[in-house]
Amino acid sequence: MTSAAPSAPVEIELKLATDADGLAALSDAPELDGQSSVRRLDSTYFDTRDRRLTARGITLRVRKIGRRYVQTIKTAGKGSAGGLSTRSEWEWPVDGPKPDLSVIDDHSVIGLIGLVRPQELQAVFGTRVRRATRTLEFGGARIEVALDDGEVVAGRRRQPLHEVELELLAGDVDPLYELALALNRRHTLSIDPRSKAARGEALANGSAPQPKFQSSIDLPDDVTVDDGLALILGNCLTHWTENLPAVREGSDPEGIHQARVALRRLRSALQLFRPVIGAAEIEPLKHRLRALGNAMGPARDADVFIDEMLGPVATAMPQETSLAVLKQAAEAWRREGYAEARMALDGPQATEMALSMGHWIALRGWRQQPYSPTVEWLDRPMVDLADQLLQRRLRAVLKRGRGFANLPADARHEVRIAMKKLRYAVDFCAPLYPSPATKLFFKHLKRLQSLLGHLQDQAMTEAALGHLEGGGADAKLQRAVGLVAGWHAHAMVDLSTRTNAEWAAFKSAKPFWHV
Amino acid sequence: MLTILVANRKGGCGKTTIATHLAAAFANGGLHTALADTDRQRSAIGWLKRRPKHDAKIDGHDWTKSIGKPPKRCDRLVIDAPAAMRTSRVEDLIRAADIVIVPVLPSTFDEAATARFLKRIDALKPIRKEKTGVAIVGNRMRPRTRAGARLESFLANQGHFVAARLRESAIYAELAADGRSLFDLTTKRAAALAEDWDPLIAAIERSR
Repeated sequence: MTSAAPSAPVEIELKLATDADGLAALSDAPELDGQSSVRRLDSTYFDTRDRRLTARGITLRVRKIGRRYVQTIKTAGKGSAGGLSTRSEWEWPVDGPKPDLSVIDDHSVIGLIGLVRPQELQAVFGTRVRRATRTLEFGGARIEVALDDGEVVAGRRRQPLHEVELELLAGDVDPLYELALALNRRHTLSIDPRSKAARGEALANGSAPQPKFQSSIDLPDDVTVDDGLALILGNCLTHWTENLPAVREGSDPEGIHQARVALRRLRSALQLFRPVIGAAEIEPLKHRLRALGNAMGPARDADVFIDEMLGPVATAMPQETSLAVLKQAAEAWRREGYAEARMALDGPQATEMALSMGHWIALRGWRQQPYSPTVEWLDRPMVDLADQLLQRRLRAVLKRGRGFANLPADARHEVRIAMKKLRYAVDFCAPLYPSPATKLFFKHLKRLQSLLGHLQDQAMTEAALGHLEGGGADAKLQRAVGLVAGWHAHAMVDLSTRTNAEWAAFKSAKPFWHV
Repeated sequence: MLTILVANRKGGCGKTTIATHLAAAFANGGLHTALADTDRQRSAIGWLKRRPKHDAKIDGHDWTKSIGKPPKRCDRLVIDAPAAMRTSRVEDLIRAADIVIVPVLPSTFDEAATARFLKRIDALKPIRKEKTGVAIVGNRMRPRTRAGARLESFLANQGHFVAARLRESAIYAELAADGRSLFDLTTKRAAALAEDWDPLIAAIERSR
C-alpha cells in the first residue's frame, strides 16, 4: 500500500519564504488586516535510525502547543507547483513529548507506516516557531494566514526560518493565489517548496539544497487533453520551483542548470500545446518566461564552452599551460553568467512567475478561452492529440532534412531546431505510449539530436572564443584560443560524417505513435 | 502488501518460530497480517489454532496442498516454506516474495548444505537482480561461542550478512505451545528478548 485513502484529510496551502524584515513588514500589511493570535509551536520530528519514514515520504512530529502535545503524520505532497502543496495530514493528542504510534486508529496510516517498533524512533531535528495566525475572508474564500518566525534546529546546527503560509480553509484556490500575488507585489517573497520537515532533514544531514531532476510525468494512457495539460505543465512548473532553493543557497551549478532546463521545458510545453491552449492565453505567460530564460543564456553558453569545447582539449593536452589561462577567463565568464541567472531566479519576478503559472494551471486557464472547435479537444483523449502533434513535428524534421548529407550549415541549424521541437513533443507524450518502440525511437532521436547539438555548439565556439580573447593582448590566451578553435574545426569534419549516418538511422526509425 | 518468505532446506532451524513471530509482530502493529503454511507438518497452522482469541488477529492460510493466491486486503503476508522443497516450487515462492528470511542454527549448522542453498537462491533472477532481498537470521545464538563466530565468518565469505541474532531461550518453546509470541506479551523479559528482532523487522520493512 503506497498511497493514502482518498478520504484522508488534505491540506491545501501556499507557502512562501521571506526574511526577518519581510516578516515584520507582512505583519503590518493592510491585506492581512485582522485580529491575530500568537502561539509558540515547538515541534520535534522523529524517524527510525534507517530513516524509513523519510524514505516513504512520511513526516512524524510531536508538537507542543501550550501544555498539550499533538502528534501529526503528514504524507509526501503531490507536487509543489507554484508553491501550492497538497498533503494528507492526521493528528492525535498524545500524553508527552514522545511519539506514540499505538494511538493511530486509521488503518490507511498504519499501512503507510508499516511496522515501526517504538524504540526505533529517535528525534532527528526540531523547529521552534512563533506563529501569528489570522483568518481572512478574501475573494469569497476563507484563508488562514500564518506568519512563522523561528528556527530549525538539528543538534548544534541552526537555521533561521521565516515563512508565510496561506492555508485554504474554505472556497476556491483562486483567491489563495490572488492573495499571494498581491502580497508579492509589496513584499520580498520567494518560493520555497521544501516543507519544514525537508529543511530539518537537510540540516540534520548537513546537506545544501539539492538540485532536482525532472520527474517522469505520470500520464494515464486514457487521460483527457484537459487533465493531461494540467499534469504536464504542473510537472514542468514543479521541476522549476523545486530547484529554486538550490539556486538561492546551493553552490552546485547544477541547480541553476536544472532551473534553466525546467523553464525551457515549460516554454516548450506551452508551444507544443498552443493549438489547444489558445494563443491569447499563452502570449502573456510566454513573454515573461522568455525574459527569465534570457537571463539564463550566458550561464548556459559558458557551461557549454567549458564542458564541451574547452574540456576535451584540456584533457587531451594536460601539459599545455595556455589552456589553464583560457579556463580561468572562461570560469570568470561563467561566474558572471551564474550571478546574473541567480539574480533573475531569486527576484520578485520569479516568484510572480511561479505564482501566476501555478494559478493559471490550477484554474486550467486553457478552459477560459471563448468557444471554438479546438475547445472540444479538451475532453478528448490526450493520445489522439499526441498522435497528431508528434506526426506534425516529425514531418517538419523530415521536410527540413531532405537531402541531409548535402545541406549547408544554416539549413542543418533549421533541422536541429525542428528536431528539438520533436524531442520535447516526445518527452511530454512518451508516457502515453509505454512500448519498446517508444524507447527505440527515443534512442535514435537523442543520438541525432546530440550530434546536431554539437555542430551548433561548435558554431558557437567561434563567438565564445571571440568574447574570451579580449582584444588579443595576452599571447597565452591567444594561443589557447587558436588551439581550441583548431581542435574543433578538425572535429567538425568527422562529426559531419557521423551525423549523416545517424540521420539515416533516425529516418528509418519507426514512429511509436498511431500514424 | 509485503510478502516475507521464511525458508531453509534444513528442518528444525526455527522456520516456524520465525514465521509465527514475524506474523504476530505485524499483527500487533495493527497491520492486516496473513500467515501461509506450505509445510506438510502444518506447524504454523497448529500454532494459529492454539492462538488465544484476544491476541492480535492473524489470518491463516493452508498452502500445504498447493500455493494459493495472496489474500486481499493484506499488509503483510508471511509464508512458512516447507523444508525439503522442489526447486521449481522454491522459485515460485521466491518470485512472489519481497524478502527471503533464512534461519540458520549455529549448533547444527551444516556449512556445505547452507552454502548450496544460498548459492541456489542467489542464482534466482529476482534475487540476482536485487528485487528480492535475502536476510539471514542466526537462531538460538549463544553469545560469545565459537559456533556463533564460525557462522558469522562463514556467512561473510558467502557475501551475506546476518540481519539479526536471536538469543536462545526456553520461552520460545512455551510460546509455541500456547500459540503466542514475544510480541503478545507485556513482561519486561519478553520485551528484552523481543529487541533481538528489531534489526530483522527493520530489514524487512526497508525492503518495501
